[in-house]
Formats: sequence, structure tokens, C-alpha cells
Amino acid sequence: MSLPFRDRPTNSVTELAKHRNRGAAQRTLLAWVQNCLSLIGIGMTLDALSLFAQTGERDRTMLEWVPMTGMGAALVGFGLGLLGLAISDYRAAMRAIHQRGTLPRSRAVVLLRPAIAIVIFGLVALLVIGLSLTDYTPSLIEAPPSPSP
Amino acid sequence: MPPPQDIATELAKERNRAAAERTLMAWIRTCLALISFGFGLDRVVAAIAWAGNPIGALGLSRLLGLSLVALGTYAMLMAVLEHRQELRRIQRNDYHYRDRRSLGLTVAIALIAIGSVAFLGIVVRAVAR
Repeated sequence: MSLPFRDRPTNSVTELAKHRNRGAAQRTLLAWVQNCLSLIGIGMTLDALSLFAQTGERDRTMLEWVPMTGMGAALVGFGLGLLGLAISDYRAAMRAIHQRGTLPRSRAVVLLRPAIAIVIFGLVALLVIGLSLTDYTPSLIEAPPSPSP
Repeated sequence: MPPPQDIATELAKERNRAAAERTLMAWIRTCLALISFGFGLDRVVAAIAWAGNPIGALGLSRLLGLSLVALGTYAMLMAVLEHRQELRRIQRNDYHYRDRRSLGLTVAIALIAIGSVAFLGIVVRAVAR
């Protein structure tokens, strides 16, 4: 019967390799933290700007609070979900180093989800901006007042 | 002076040192992003308040911005301390890998907590309108 991975005798090179693997897993997690921080930070900023849009008497067409609040909440929620996945991946990698010795199956498909979601977010943003611009269009194409005789 | 080890181990130590340096630089980028976002959010809130809006509804945003700055500062300090310990540890000839507390995991969980408060704040305010 073979010994568990953590109890097998190893040499210095293997132990140092485990250390490098831990560092690589941590750098991957930090890269995810940076990406998720961007999503969460932009979402929070959109929410703060929506408060600016809904107060005072100003043109609210481009700063309508409903899409901005919705997009802000969506971005924050999306960032939180991705960060949860990244933490799960990191813990799996750590368990593999300590217990099994074989790295977990690649979860590259996880990368496709944010890519697809960002494309959808971009399309929604384009739609919102496009709808907002239609409100401006009449004033843009309005004929200039005729000169008084 | 410690006895020289075989060349494979010495080269492995050099790879570990370089890897530790890359990890420290990743920490610098992450903490810079945390501090910049926190500071930027605080400035946005300050600019909105300066434009004549009441700060009451923006208090949560300001608190979250300050939390990001505090988290970034704490993480940078701990990352530097951890880097120094790592360098000392890998220089030992009897290096044996041990599972340790992960600073990355701590920061990620803290960011989830801050993000959750932000998400709940946005949803509760939208529902209350």
C-alpha cells in the first residue's frame, strides 16, 4: 500500500518545487483579485454616480439612475461570483499540493464565463447608451429657428 | 558557513527566490489597485458632495472606499513581512514545505465581505426608493 502524498519521502528539490507551486497559485489568485476588484470598484462608482444623477434639477437622460444602479449591482455581483470561483480554485490547488500531489483538472472553461458575460455587459451598455441618445436626437436634428423678419 | 549542496538544489533555490519576487510584485500591483480604487471612490463621493448633494446617502460608498484603502495598506505590509520570511526560509538547507496561512485567501475573503456590503447597499437602496 502506497503512502499518502504528504507522508512520502522527498528531497529538497521537490520541497522547493512545492513552494514554487504555492507561489504560482497565490499569484493566480491575486490576478483574479485584481480583475474582480476592477469589476466591484467600477460597480460601486456607477452606484455613487447614480446618486448624483437622481438629485437636483439637471438633465437626467444620460445619467438615468435605473440602468446605472442595475449595471452597478450587476458588476459588483459578477465580481463577487468570479472571486468565489477563484477562491475555490485556489483551495483545490492547495489541497492538491498537500494531499494528492497531482494538480486539479484545468478549469480553463471558467475563463470563458467572464468573457461571455463581459460581451453581454458591453451589448447592454451599448443598448442603454443608444436608447439614451434617441432622446437627444430630436433636439440634435431640430431645425434652427427661422430669423425674424 | 553552511556546507554546499548539490547544484540542482542551489538552482531550485534561485528559482524560488525569483518566484518569491514575482509574488511580491503581484502583491504590489494588487495593493496599488486596492488603494487606488478606494481613494478614487472617496474622491468621487467628495466631488458629488461638493456639488451640493447631501452626503448621507453617500456615506456607505465613502466607508467602503476607506475600507479598500485600509485593506490595501494592511495587505502590502503583511506581504513584505511574508516575503522576508520566505527568503530566510528557502536559504535553509533542511527546507521542508509546510502548509501556512495564506494572505491571498485572507485578502480575497475580505474583498468578498466588502463587495457583499456594497451589493446589499445598492440593492436595499434601490428597493427602498
